[in-house]
Amino acid sequence: MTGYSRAAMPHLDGHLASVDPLSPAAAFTRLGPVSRRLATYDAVDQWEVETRRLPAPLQRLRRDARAFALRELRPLAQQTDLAAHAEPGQLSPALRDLIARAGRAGLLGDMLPMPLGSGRPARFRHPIVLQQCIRVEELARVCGGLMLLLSANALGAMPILLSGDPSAIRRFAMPLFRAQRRGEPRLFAFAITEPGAGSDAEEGHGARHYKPGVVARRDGDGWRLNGRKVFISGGDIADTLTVFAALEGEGMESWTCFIVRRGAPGFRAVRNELKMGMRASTASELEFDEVFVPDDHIIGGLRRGWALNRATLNLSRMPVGALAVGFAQGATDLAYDFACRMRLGGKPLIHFQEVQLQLAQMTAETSTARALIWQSADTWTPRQATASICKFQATDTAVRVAEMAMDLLGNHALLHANGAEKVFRDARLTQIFEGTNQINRLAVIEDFQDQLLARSTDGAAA
Amino acid sequence: MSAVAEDVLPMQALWDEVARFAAHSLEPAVARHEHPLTPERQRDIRDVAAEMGLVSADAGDPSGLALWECDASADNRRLSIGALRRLGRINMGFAWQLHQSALARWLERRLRFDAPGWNVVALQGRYGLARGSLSRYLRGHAGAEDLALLQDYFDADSAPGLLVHCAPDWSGVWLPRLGAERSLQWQYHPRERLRVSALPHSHGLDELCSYAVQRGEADTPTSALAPDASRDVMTELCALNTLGLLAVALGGVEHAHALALDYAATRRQGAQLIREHAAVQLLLGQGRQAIALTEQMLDSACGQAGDSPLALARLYRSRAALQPMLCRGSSDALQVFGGMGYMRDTGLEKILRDQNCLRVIHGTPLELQLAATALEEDAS
Repeated sequence: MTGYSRAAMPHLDGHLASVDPLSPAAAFTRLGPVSRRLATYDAVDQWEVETRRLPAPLQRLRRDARAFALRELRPLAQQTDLAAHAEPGQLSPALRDLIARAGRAGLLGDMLPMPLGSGRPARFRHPIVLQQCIRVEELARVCGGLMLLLSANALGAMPILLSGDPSAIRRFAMPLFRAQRRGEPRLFAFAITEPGAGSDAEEGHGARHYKPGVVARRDGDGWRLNGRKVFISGGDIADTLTVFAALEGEGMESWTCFIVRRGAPGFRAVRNELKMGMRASTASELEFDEVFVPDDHIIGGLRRGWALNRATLNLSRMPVGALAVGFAQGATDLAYDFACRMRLGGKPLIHFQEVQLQLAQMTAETSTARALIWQSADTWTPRQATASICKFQATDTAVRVAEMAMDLLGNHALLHANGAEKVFRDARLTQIFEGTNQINRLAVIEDFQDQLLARSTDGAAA
Repeated sequence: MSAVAEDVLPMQALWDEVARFAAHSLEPAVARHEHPLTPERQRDIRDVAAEMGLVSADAGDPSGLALWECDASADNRRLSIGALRRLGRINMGFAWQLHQSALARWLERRLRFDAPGWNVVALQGRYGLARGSLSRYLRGHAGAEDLALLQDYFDADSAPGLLVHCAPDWSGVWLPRLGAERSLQWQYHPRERLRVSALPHSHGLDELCSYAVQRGEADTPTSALAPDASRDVMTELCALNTLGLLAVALGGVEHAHALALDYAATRRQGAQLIREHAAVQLLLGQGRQAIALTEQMLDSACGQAGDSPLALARLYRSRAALQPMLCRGSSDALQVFGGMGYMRDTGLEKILRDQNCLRVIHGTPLELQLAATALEEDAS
């Protein structure tokens, strides 16, 4: 102990300095070589710890995504959130440029490996869903709205890829992926929701009783679409939309996926919603007035739309869980920054035990949600229950952690400049879109229905 | 509202009058949730509120029925809570603004100081509720460390100063200061003598704005309260503020709940009205529960005698438990609307943002728990 002064060494209140002989880090160094190898570790932060657990190609993906988010999204995040409400079809030069940069960086077409898409081939030894989860988390951590602006694109392309139809992929997906890679700001959008029918489009029981709002009528070698879609992310600026419509005179079981191109006669974005958050991404109301779609612009075949829709949601709900983890991480990081910056009674808040407890809880909840997503995505098999569990569990966590961040910042949380309130506003949408969390809970039970009926005493009667 | 004898308040009639004012003067101005009240319109409505005696135009001219005017009277508290609740049902930002103004008037009456215009009290210091230090001060048990922390907590001399959230046309701020005799004194600072930074774009309460205020150079009169009186004033201010915050938040969740009930009674999903789904019933149940418990708590608080530190501790604990429930009730009402609830047109998202503001202003649930524990220290 000679020459060692505990008070002089930097430490947080209530903790020993890391060089104190009684601290684990210092104590481990006195172990023998074998024990030391078993017990010691680099004192890197949680993000680095988790990144190092990934295989090398995914580590690179995560580091690249974070670097892109910090370089390209962060400078735009606050100003875009406060920008005036965008009129339908209008894209600011800054956002246009961002989309171009994301395309050139390979972020928009990475659902397929190069040269078909923009993903690095080495990554494709691992599930595409896991890749998407890693990417969206990093973008969402910096800005939910900008993340959605870029990521709704993957959702729009998904029915084409899931159709498994090489011709459709070659004609509709690959040209856009190539254009994106060249830096052209062209995006996909996914259009299912109709006025008065949010959950009905996401849940079979509701769909059974729902009268479709967008209807396709046979006309020569194609179909005429009529009706409206609402809340379509990026629907007003998209180049190519996967639009789901019922066939005339039939119910939702006839849903068919049609490709509609921007500028098609009769197709227009009527309005963009004023939203609580996610403001960099538009939620558009789209009008279809006798929009002609030729037969060869049908994805997956007639009456296959409901299946494609459900399969798309089963794929996309896991990345929705991941983007929620990004919100939770963003809120946690903001809270740490504030606790280290804000002083009371002459010392930063991080010295106070109640602040440390709160931060540790936020860190734990975020890491737990991430573990669920990564574990589910890494062993991905198409399963509705797993996707829904990831979605509602992580999005509820995100909102709870954002609330904890606001509580930690106290009345300073109200200020836009401090960031926490924006995370809450952005995160709140995730409990609603891609099926409300109530619908997603019921989707878990639906998925196990047959097993549950078999266990039920009156299963036979049912 | 005309003045009547203190012990025979026709409570329901007075509340009805407030509700009529809210419906006729306030509601049309805030019907478009996406367009916040302009400062001019807000001033006009506030003037109407002053004319009807809801707030005193100045401290020396009590109407007998203004918010928090007779703080010791259970009836006046009940009246104030009921009025704020009814205003909160229409617009939480406006209600909270009147509440703050009434607190300033209350302080001015206690200090026998007539400050003109619409003022606010900077009741919250730099961060939180000063951990346990303010509580121990209120109990008369503050040690040297507590006083040092309070000095920093209420420091409005150095940057960034103290945060206040109020209407843009505020006239002045009451700032607390730990005096030489180790008691909290109050200084009135007209706006023009302060260094003020507007901090736009608050999370909610869109009618208001946030400001960082710092003392200017000029001397300003300072109260000369004896230590006991100083503690009493702060304790009562904190108690009234807690009641007011909860009353406004209660009005807000009632509004959200009513909107959700209406929607659930018309929107269909899966061949039935959504109110028939257990999922929606559970969401609506959160709002009902928050309303019932807050109502019960406020009613019981009106009946309690005085504003001792222990009574304040009870209020803090109640608020710590209720404020998250009020947020949850509002959030669940939004959830009933699904995607529509997230859009600004329905007003649900604004109520949720406003509720979040009331949850973190003047003490978050965690800070309230710590403050309550310090208020109860050695009390058993």
